[in-house]
Amino acid sequence: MQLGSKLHVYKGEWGLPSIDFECMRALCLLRFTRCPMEIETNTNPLRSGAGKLPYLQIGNDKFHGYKDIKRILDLEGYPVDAHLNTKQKHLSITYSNWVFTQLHAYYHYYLYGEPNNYDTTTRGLYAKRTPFPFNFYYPSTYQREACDVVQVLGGFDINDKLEKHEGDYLAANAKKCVNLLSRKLGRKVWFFGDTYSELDAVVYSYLAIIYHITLPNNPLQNHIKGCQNLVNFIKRITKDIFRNECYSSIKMTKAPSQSDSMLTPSERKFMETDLNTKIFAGVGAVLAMGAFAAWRGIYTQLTRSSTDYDGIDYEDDDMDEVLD
Amino acid sequence: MQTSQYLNQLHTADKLSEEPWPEDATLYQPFEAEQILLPESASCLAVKAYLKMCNLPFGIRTCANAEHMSPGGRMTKLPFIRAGAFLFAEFEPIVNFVEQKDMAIGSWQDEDEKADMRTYVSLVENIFTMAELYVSFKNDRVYKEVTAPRNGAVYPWPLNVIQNYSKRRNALRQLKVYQWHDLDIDQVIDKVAKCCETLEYKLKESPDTPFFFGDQPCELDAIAFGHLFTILTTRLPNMALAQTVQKFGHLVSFCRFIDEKYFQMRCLQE
Repeated sequence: MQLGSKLHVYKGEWGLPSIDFECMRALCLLRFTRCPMEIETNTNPLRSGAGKLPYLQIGNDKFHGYKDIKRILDLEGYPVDAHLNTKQKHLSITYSNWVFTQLHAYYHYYLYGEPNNYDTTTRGLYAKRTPFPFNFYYPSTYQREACDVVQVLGGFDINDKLEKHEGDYLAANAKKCVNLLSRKLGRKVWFFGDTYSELDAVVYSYLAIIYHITLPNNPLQNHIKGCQNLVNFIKRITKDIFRNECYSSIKMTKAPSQSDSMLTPSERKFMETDLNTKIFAGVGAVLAMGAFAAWRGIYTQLTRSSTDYDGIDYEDDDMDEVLD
Repeated sequence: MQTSQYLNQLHTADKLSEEPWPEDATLYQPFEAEQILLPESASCLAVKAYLKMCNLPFGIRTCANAEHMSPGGRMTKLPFIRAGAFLFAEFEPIVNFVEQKDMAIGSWQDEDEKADMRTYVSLVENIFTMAELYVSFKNDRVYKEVTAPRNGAVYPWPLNVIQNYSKRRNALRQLKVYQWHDLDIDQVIDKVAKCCETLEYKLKESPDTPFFFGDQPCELDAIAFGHLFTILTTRLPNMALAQTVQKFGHLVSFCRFIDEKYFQMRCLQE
């Protein structure tokens, strides 16, 4: 691998290495195969050439999207399925494909399609990771893409009325899929015993995000909590493999208070800020006001003292008389 | 429209198992000679093969607007089956419906084998349907010479243009969702070849038996036969898919065997 090559991904949250499914998948390939490559989280999706992350930069060449990144890693000698036997290789392909058909629609609907989830959580997540003028635009491209995904895989339009959304159907399908995965994983370390595979990358990417994300409406989250072996699987990979990439902003680690739902978004934002920040803001405000008052006070003092000066007063009076 | 199908699937499982297979079950599909497209033809053949393997009686009705009568689905929306009061479209919902009636093949499989088989079915369905859609709609020559005239065949002039436009837009959207839209033809061939490799490996696992799993047919046999046979026997201006499949001798002889056993169409060349 050429020196100075970099993988650009969205920064993580809730202790995960990234917030985006495609980025997570690419990161998994990289870290499972121990490919020595830098990871850049402070980045601009505009530079990828496709308006999206992840992308891989090697010299002046850019490869965007999971498919291209996987192809490059295969060529460079870091294939993810290398340690499996032939049968397991084939099964890894079929299972990855099957998990995609079962979970892709759920992931896209509940992250981007469900209006409440998108407005309160997902849009903000993506907007915060995109530089200023683009943060108004890029999150909505994800929503548009989700619209297509849900239309094709779920069979309904997310621009329709909320009553027409078949979210329950998607959730029921996803739950069945999670049950089967939990049974398949059993007590093993990886899905195929002792070595990692593409299936592990795909399952981890979907489930870790769905498990950790704090959405108002996310029926699969509790279901995953019920499958202890999958929870352990997620936690183990997060802790062991992504030790250095994990990121969590302080705000998110606080438990939400009881009265949370009663507040408006701006009030909630103020409640969530640090105590230090509040004190600092208070002191700053007092100082500013004091300074202003002092400045006004001295100013009036100065003008008053100037009016006490005798010579000018008399001259002024003379002027007034002349004008009269 | 969509709701009916999903609710059917979710809530009527108990009711269904008590009723017998309806005598007047009918399979709806477009006209085979003039209208049907490659992906639709493949999924129709897969469903027919499955029902024949289960030994269930069914009638076939061809009508021009079959696609618009269908209750919906993720791939081609065809064929759909009317059994008693229920409508089911596409391979998987139909298979689930038959399984609820305890008449399905494959009940001898244990849970793990069944899970494996399901994933193979979904792989075959995705890869081949997408490849067929890609060739039908993304290849200019095939689209102009075959897909567009056939799809518009049953409509008068201004309507066929609109039909073709909306059908193509839907197909391209499907390709985009499955992340196939930016592939070139070589990558498509590569994917199909990989899928064939997987199938052939599975077939070779039990060399003494003609089927994929053990000595009895299952869903995978039906859907693999439907797609492979259709790809092999359909004449298109671009035969890249057929040439790829032909490289896998075991799969071709598997198609010949299933055809001989259930259909006797015998249009597969030696």
